[in-house]
Formats: sequence, C-alpha cells, structure tokens
Amino acid sequence: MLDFLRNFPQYLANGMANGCLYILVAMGFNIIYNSTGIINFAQGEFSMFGGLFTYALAVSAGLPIPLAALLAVLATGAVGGAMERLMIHPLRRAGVLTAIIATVGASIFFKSLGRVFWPSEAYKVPEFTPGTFRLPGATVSKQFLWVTGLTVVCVALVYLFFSRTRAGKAMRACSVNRQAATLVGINVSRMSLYSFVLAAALGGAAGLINAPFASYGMGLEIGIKGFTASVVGGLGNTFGAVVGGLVLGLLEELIPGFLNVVLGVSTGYKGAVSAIILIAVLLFRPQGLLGRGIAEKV
Amino acid sequence: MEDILVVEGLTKTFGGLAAVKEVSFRVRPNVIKAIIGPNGAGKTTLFDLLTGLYRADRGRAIFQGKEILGLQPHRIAALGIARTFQTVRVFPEMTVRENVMVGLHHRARAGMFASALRFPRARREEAWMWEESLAYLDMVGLEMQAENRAGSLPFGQQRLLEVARALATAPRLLLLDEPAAGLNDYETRELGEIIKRIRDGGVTVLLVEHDMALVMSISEEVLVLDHGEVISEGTPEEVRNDPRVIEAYLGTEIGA
Amino acid sequence: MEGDGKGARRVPRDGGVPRGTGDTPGRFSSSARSLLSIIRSYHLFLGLGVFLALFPLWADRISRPLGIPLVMVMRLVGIYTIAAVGLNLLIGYAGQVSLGHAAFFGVGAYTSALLCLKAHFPPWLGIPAAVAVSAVLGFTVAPVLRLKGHYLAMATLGLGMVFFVFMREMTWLTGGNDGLRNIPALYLPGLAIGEGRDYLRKEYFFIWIIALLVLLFCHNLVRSRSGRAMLALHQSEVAAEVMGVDVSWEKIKAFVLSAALAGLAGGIFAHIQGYIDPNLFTIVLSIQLVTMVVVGGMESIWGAVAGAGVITFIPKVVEALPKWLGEVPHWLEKYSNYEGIIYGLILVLTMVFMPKGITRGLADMVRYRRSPFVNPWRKKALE
Repeated sequence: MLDFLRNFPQYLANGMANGCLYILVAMGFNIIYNSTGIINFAQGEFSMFGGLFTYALAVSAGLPIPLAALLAVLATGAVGGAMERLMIHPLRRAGVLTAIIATVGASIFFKSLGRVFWPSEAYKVPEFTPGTFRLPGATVSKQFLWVTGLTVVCVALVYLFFSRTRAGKAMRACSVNRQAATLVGINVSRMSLYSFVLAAALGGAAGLINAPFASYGMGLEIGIKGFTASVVGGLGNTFGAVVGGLVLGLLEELIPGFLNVVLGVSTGYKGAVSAIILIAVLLFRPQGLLGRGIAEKV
Repeated sequence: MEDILVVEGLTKTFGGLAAVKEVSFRVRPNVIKAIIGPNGAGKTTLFDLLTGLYRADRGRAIFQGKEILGLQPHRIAALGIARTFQTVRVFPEMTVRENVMVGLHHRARAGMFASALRFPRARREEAWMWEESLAYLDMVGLEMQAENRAGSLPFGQQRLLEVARALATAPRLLLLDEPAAGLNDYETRELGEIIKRIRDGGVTVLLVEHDMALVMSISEEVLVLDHGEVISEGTPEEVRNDPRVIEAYLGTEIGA
Repeated sequence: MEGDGKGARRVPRDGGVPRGTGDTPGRFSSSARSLLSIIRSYHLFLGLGVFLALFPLWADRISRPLGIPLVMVMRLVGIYTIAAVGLNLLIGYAGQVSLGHAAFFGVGAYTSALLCLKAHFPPWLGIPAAVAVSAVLGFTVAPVLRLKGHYLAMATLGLGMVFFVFMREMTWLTGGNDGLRNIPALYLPGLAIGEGRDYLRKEYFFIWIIALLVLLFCHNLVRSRSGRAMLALHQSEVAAEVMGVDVSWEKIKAFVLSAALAGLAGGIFAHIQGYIDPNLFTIVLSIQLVTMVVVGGMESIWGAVAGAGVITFIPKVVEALPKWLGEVPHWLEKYSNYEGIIYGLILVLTMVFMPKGITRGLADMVRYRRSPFVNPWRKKALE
C-alpha cells in the first residue's frame, strides 16, 4: 500500500500525459459523431498516420521537428478528408451496420498501408526537447510539457472554431438537427467533410504527441481508448472529452498500479482496463459522467 | 358487458411538457372508438403508452381486468393488444406473407432447436402459420401480393399489410394510428369497410384518425384530445356539436 | 394440400437462395412428392455435398501445379464456415454487430485443448465442451446486447480485447504467449482422424460433415419462427416488439448460438493445428469473420460458405502467385504485410457497391429483379 502511495505522483503524471492523448482522439470521435451520426472506427489510425508522418518527415526527410509536426497534422487531415469523400459521402444514406463495417474496413486498410510503408514494430519519433526533470515523487519527461501545451492549444483552437467561425456554428447546428440544418441552408455534406478533416487532424496531433514511439499497430488501442474517453465524457459532448480523457488516463494508471503493487496482479492486464471501463460505462452510465448522453434512438 | 379497456389518470411528460395529462376513458367491447384531436394532442403518445413503448408517469390502464402499464411490449401484445403505426413500419426486406407470419409469432411455440431440427410439431406449426397468414392477407385483400417484398408495395398497401400483421397477433383490441393517412378516397372507403369487418369479427378498435368523414361514418364513440387532455367524449353527433371541440379545432368545421 | 408438413409445405424463405418458380406438386404419390420437395428445398445442400465429396479426388492432382494444397485449405474453409454462419445469424439476420467473436473462437480452442492436455479428455468430448463453454460465456456477456448499433460494435470490440488480454496473461492456464503445444489430433471412438497417411483427407471429411450439418441447422432455423423474429427485429425493433416478439430474448439466443458455433469452430481448429497461442485470436480474426459474413452476403446461409471460401483462399492464392508468375514485385512477397489492405478494401468496396454481399445480391437479382450492385452516387429524389 505504501509503495502504491509512493508511486502515486508518478501515476498522476503518466496518467495526465496519456489523458492528453485521449482527449484529442475523443474530440475527434465526438466531432464526427455530431455532424454525421457515425462512430469512426478508423479514428485511431489517424493517430497512427500522425506519428508515422512525423517520423517520415522529421527523421527520414530531415525536416525541423515543428515543421514536420505541422505538415504531418495537415497530411493526416487530408487523409481524413479523402476518406470522407471516397467512402463516407457515398454511404451517407446507408444504415448503421454499413457505416460500422465500412469504417472498420477503412481502419484495417489504413493500418495495413502503414505497415507496408513503415513495417517495423516501432519508430522513434524525436521528442521536441529531449530530457526529463524531477518533480517531488515523479520523474517527468520534458515532452510532457509539450504534450500538455499542445493539447491545451488544440482544445482552445477547437473551442474557437466552434464558437467563432461560421463553419463551426454550422457544424453545431448539424449536431442538433441535421434535417433542420439542411432547411436553413447549411451544406450538411460539406460539414461532414470538415468534421472528418478536423477529427483526422486532431487524431494526427494525438499521434505525434504519442512520442517517443509510433507504429502501424497503435491505432486500434488508441482508437478504443479515445472512444472510451469520449463515452466517459458523454458521447457527442465535444468538451466532455477533456474530462473523459483525463479521467481515463488517470484510471488507466491507477487501477493497474494498485492491482500490481498491492495485490500483485501482472501489469499485463493493463490492456484490458480501458475496455472494461468502456463496457461498464456503456452499460451503466451511457450518458457519460457529464450527461448529455445519447442512448441511440429507437 | 364489462369494459375491455379502462384508462385512468394516464399521464406522460417529456422534459416537463405533458404529452398526455390525466387521461381517463373506457372502451366497451366490440365497438369502434375514434380518438381525434389536433396535431400534437397526444394521440400517438397514448398508443405508445398502451403498447408499452413508453413508460407512463402516472395512471392505470386495465385491459380485460389486467394492469398493462409497466409490462414489456411483447407481453402486452401477447395479452391481446395490437397496433399499427402512423409512419408505416412494415418489415421491408421480408415478403408480405412473412410480415404476417411475424404477427403469428407469439401464437406459436416452436423453439430454436425444434425448428432447426424440424421436429414434427414445429413443422406442423410452420405449415399452420403458412396457411393462416394467407387468411389474414385475404382479409385486407393482399393475398395476391403474398410473395412480394413488403417494401415494394405501394404505400396504401403497406398500411393494409400493417393491419393484417396486427390482426395476425389475434388481438382483442386493435389500435390503428392514422390508417387512412396518405390513402385516396377509394382506398379510404375500402379501409372503412375493412375496419367494420374487423369489429364485426369481435375485435375492439381504437382509431386515431384525421379523416373526419371516415371517423364519423364508422365509429360508435369518439374521444377528443387536446393538449394531452380529454376535452370531449360521446357519440359522433354529440362530439360534433360540442363547443369545446369546435374551439379546439380553431373553428374548422368538423366533418367538412 | 393441407399441412401434413411435407409435400404441401412450400418454403417461405430460402435463406437468400434463388428458387425456381415451378411449384406444382402434381399428381405424384405422397412419398414421391415429399422426396421431390426435399430435393427442391435442399438441392443446394445436395449439390454442395456432392461437390465436396468428389473434391478430394481431383484436388490432389491439381494442388501441385497450382501451388495450393487444396484439401488442406478446404479444411480451414470448413472451420471458418461454421463460425461465419453463426456470426451471420447474429449480424446478417438479427442485425447485431459483433467485432469480438474471435474471443469465442479462442475460448473454444482453449477449452478443448486444455481439457485434452490437462484432463486427458478425448477430442470428441473436448469439442462439445468447447461449444458449451463458449455458449455459457456468450450468455454471460449477453447484457451488452442492450446496446445498439455503434455502441454494441465498440463494446464487442472491447470484449474481444479483454478476452485476448486474459488469454495472454493467465499464463498458469494458457501458457501465455508461448501457447499450448502438442494438442492431440482428432479421433472418434474407434476412428483415428488426424493420424495416418491420409489424415488431411479424413480431417477434411470430418470438418465438412459437421459444417454441412451446421449449415442445415441454420438453413432450417432462418426459415422458421425464430429466423423470422431475428429478421423482423433487424428491420424494425419497435414493430417486432409490438407484434409480440421478445426482442431482447431473440437477440440473446442469436448471440449465444453464434458464440457456440464460434466455439465449435475454435475447438476443431485447435485439434487440427495442434498448437494455439493467443495471437491467433485477436481482433484480426474477429474482423476476418466479419469480412466473411459481409463479403459472402449478410442474411444468407450460403454467404458464409462463399465468404469463408473467398477470404481463406485469398492469402493462399497470393502466396502461390510467385509460382504462377515466376517473379513478383518484392512488395508482394510478404503477404501478411498487406493482407489488411485487401481485407479493408474488400470491406469498404462491398459496403459501397454491393452492400448485401455476393450471394444475397445475386439472390435478390433473381428474386426481385434488382441489380446486385448499387450506385452510391445516384441522386435520390429525397435526401
């Protein structure tokens, strides 16, 4: 028990860092869900692209890291846009089942594409500023500051987009009622495109802060954790994702930490924690911690 | 004879807005009782409450001496209440006959294994359902369409199919939600005849309908809802002359 | 023609199979009539049975030039058919997505393997036990069926992950990543199947006899009361409920049955492979099973066969390509690298252009004179 408490600050720091990642992915889920009603099973693969693109641009092509990161995020956004035009748009009238299977297909496709071009198990994405510093009770990488900062910037930008821009307001209207939005002259199809580009860019940003490693296989895990975060925060509640991401990040450190240190359970079970949280929240509190839940309509 | 359905103090609110408010009425067996009222008066909500799709906030609904509020929809169906929907909900990818056979579902017993292993009892039952379904299609005049895809039927016939499917559950009480909506005059008259035949076959009919000509010509009793409340009840004549009803319809002439 | 349930009984639904319109029993004696009716209802089974029975006769001769061990691969097709037909009941008929069926497949495999290795069960008892354990497990997690659509898909994906982690981490039982080795080969009392010179062929027949029985079971099921209930709740849950269908119970039944069949497939799989480890039962397998269902055709029993065949043979064909072509571009060499590209494209393209899959698309073409393809860019009158 004492060991667990001693490690506590470290759990907090790690949890916060992961939480930032989940926040960005979860916001992507929410944005797409709000404007199209689709859960994008390929959301995690956007992060994979973010990470691998950054690697390719920064390491293989030797660009300065900030530029590489920016370009990687933009390129991932473009992937999202292409996916929307080529697949989601033709399927816009199809049923839920079709949308699920198609986005699952896209996820497999993206993952495999990543594997063809970047076949190793892991690529080291350079940290923005290498090194660590010590806080009382925890060792924190300097990257952590960047991760937090970037997340705050992204959340702020998304907030400004939704509250200040025409497109953002139109997308909010879509999330309330797509039909009514059409009637007042909003181009719903274009909003769907925007939402995919935005969600992909956010996913890409999450991928590049997932440093130090990126690999073709990371998408599934990030995807399911990001979705869990969005459900914890209340699916469709874009900024609930902030709470959801942090809560999930912390729980995911604290629960296995507790089980491991106090009860001696292998840390290998860590991979199941978020999935169990996901199922539990879906079954017992589908509206999420913050409410505005959307139990799927009859 | 004892009333087949007794509704008392039925209330349902959505987010503070009462869709159905303290509604009480009785339905005698073997009559056609119409429920009318302006749009948003709570008629469909009332049906949704009686068939278990929504949970009531307060009130009672006694069907043949048994409380039905709080029961699951399929239990209520098994007790003998069937309905059709305002927005047609046939099973579009199944054939017309299969749609009716779903209505027969709860009257058969064969389980998954009995059916899949084709036990004699399951086969007899299946054969029975196969024959029986045609009888119900015959009743609404769709027997020629039995093998067509239900989704390919014209709209009016889909409504009739819903009626046949509902009848196949062998109800004592049939709730029809705007069955004439979208039908032409000829089809509406046909529908009126079919509803009367249903009543004559021993099924009590509750009818939500906007077509006043149809309502006034076939129903024995009329219940008028406005803003979720009962504002009038009686024979078509009484209701037609009730000033409250006329006011609710904002001066529109009833039966015009 | 009154319902003695035999000759007079026409078949309401062919599980998506096109059927001749000639439906005149004629003046035959009743036994001849019932024989005719059986042939009519089951002609596809007879055809498939005859094909499968004769298959090994010529398969061996062309396997070598083709570079694909046909009988060996067909064993796997049979196993995947069993799992896919169960999953099709759930996804295609009842409309409930599961992205986690690899879990049941894996649990089936582990159950039978462990019983045989640790409790010295014979495989012919281990496999039924695998079915039972998978079914019980399916029933245990059935509460997730309260979820709909995307949520159910995500929850089952999560379940698959949880099971995978447990299979990997419970090393005292499952051997963890090292897996289980030396799983006994198949045998029945008095009949060794997985041994001897001809073991591939014997396994092939064993598997396909079971697969055909499963297909027959499901074929009958979907044309029955239960099958109609599944189809109905898929198309309108509310209408099905109001018609007296106990929707949640029907969903659970479909889920448990599909879990049991996945367990059956997994149990057999363990014994013909002789070796299992958790990495065989990941999300990849779940998606493969879904791909089989989707490509073959949802709402179609035969779709499972077609889908299992197509998806199992694709990698074998690709691996054999160098043999056919002499030389291939180097990126084509390691199939596992891009198999996902193929699966992904198949899933997406099927959804966009032929959402009902091969068999069902063709069946509808015959039955309703509809093109099996859809044009997603066609403008509809109403958005």
